[in-house]
Amino acid sequence: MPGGTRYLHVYVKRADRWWLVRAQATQIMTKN
Amino acid sequence: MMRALRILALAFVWLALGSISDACAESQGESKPPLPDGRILAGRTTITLPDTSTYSPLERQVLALERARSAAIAKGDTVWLATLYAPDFSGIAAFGLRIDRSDLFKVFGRDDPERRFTIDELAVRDYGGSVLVTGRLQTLGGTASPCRGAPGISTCM
Repeated sequence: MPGGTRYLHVYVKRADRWWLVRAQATQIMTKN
Repeated sequence: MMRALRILALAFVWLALGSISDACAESQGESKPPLPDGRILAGRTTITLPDTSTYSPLERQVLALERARSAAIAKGDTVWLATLYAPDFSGIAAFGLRIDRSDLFKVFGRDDPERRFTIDELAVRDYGGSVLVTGRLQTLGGTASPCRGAPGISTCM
């Protein structure tokens, strides 16, 4: 199975609801 | 004969209502019962939930959104996803590609329906004004790409 990715999502609240505004993913190249 | 037909009709309505109820619950981020090992299934993604005993209500709310996000991606529900991904969303895919919301939704639309995913190492933190989510996404089955979307234009997010 591939190592997959680790990701970061950034949510901010606008007009009383949460929005996903930024995301960044990094491929996992090691077994860690 | 009429009684048998009536029973069949009632059974059909009961099954139909059950399906609609399941679909509504999933779209609102409500979870189905946990799997025997404690993980939960959201669409085609099996999620290992974090220990939420110290989470604030706000962090739990965002965690529920993340679960609903996985289910919505599996269903191709871009109407709901457009209420989550901000119009000015900006992302960096695993291989460095910059991607905006419309590009991302196109990639979701090309996803291989045979693929299954797992998410673990999930953590949600409130930093006051913004909430950060981190996790690990892995692919099981389908094409070889470790990310969502069509091979070569996958997003991993």
